[in-house]
Amino acid sequence: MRVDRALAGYIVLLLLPVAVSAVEGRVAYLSGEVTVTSGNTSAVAEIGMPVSEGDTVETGANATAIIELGRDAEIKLRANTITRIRELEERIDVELESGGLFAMVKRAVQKAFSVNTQSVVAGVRGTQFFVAFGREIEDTPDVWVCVNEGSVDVEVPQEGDRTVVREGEGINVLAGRQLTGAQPYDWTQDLNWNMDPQEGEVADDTDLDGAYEDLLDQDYD
Amino acid sequence: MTDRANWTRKLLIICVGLAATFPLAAEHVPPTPDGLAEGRAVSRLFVKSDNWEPMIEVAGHFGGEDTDFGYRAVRLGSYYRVHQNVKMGAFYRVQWGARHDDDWLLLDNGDWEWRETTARAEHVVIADVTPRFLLDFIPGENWVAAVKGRYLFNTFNMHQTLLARPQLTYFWLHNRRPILNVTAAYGAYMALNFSDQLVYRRAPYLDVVYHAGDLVKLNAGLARETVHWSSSQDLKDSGAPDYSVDQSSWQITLGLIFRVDP
Repeated sequence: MRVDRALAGYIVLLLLPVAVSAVEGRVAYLSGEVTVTSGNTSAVAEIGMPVSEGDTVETGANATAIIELGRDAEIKLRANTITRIRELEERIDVELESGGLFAMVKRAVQKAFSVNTQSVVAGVRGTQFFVAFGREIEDTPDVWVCVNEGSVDVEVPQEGDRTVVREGEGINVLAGRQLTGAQPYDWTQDLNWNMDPQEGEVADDTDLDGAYEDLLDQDYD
Repeated sequence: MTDRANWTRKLLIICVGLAATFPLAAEHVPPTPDGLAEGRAVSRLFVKSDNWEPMIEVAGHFGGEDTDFGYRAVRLGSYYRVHQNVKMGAFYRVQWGARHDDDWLLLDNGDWEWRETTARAEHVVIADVTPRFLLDFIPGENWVAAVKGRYLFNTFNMHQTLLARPQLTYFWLHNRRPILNVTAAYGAYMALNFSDQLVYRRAPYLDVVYHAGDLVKLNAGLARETVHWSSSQDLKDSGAPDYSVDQSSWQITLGLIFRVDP
């Protein structure tokens, strides 16, 4: 399945503020079967392999890959995910075609925004969020966006709708078209946000079925 | 006397004869006040923990011949999801005010009446198994069919009962989350070691659960319940003719359900 233009749209918006000096990405970590397709050529990925604009990265079952996108951002692909790197030069534009990914903007180069109290300074140092396809209940699949750090502006250009998802919140874009209210979801607590293999397991096997009500689990008698 | 008058006279004789022999007309037969309505209040708390779902229930029935809570019960136990499509449960229930066949008594003065049972405690052990299936091929997709099977053993009189209740539920969803469950069901209580009729209690009913939130659900139900009464022990001892009667009533249920999913 291909992501609709709406999803690609808000990923672009989210990463726009990042000034990228490097124009090439690279495979920073992988486990399981990961392939990189460049043009008509597919190759089994290796750590350190460059990833350029137009390349597609695909993870197999039980596979995980972390792709550095320049110095300021990286993405972690869950198993059974297909992602195309559409642009790295002026902006970072990642197209999620299937599966799900975690994105982390390492640092913001725009003016920092902070809230100060007498003893605490809270600043926006980066953004970490998760995007994945959910169930296909209508003609196109749902799209989930969950935020771990910072805030994310989610927009559905086709509908002209947008909203802000804040830290700890998630949102389900029904069929990739209809925004619902951003709110905390219990199931997102199972997401593995770690993107540093040195700090532990990076694979995420959260079952997105947990994002949906289990109608077979309801017995109130 | 005209032919018409003759027929009228014969019909009257037949009716009087029937009335004299028909058990319903006898004093030793429990009255059957069809059309009674009974209210039921129930509150349940479920705490979900992986596949376990312990629960506690407090219930009371009122109305009919009484305006107080004639029947009260507390149930404790847990469901366990043994398979995606099957839940099993084990419960203990203590109840007061239940009425059984043998509670139809012959008094010293020759009158018949129901025993006062509101202070009588009975202990019931319950086992439950409920398979469920998503019927996503039906228009609307959010249909679930289930059959609740429940075995009850009453330690007070050793009565064993089996409930079979096929049911069909439609889940009305908003933003992929349930707002309203509407269930149509038919419950049949089978007497395994008592009564002269296998299905001694039966009820078609309609039940609605409104999801006021993740924690709180509001429940309302309407049932038309029929209870079959067989000859009591006092009746048999008295030598009076056996009886076998049905009593029907409307059951209106209002419930408050809490479901904690930490």
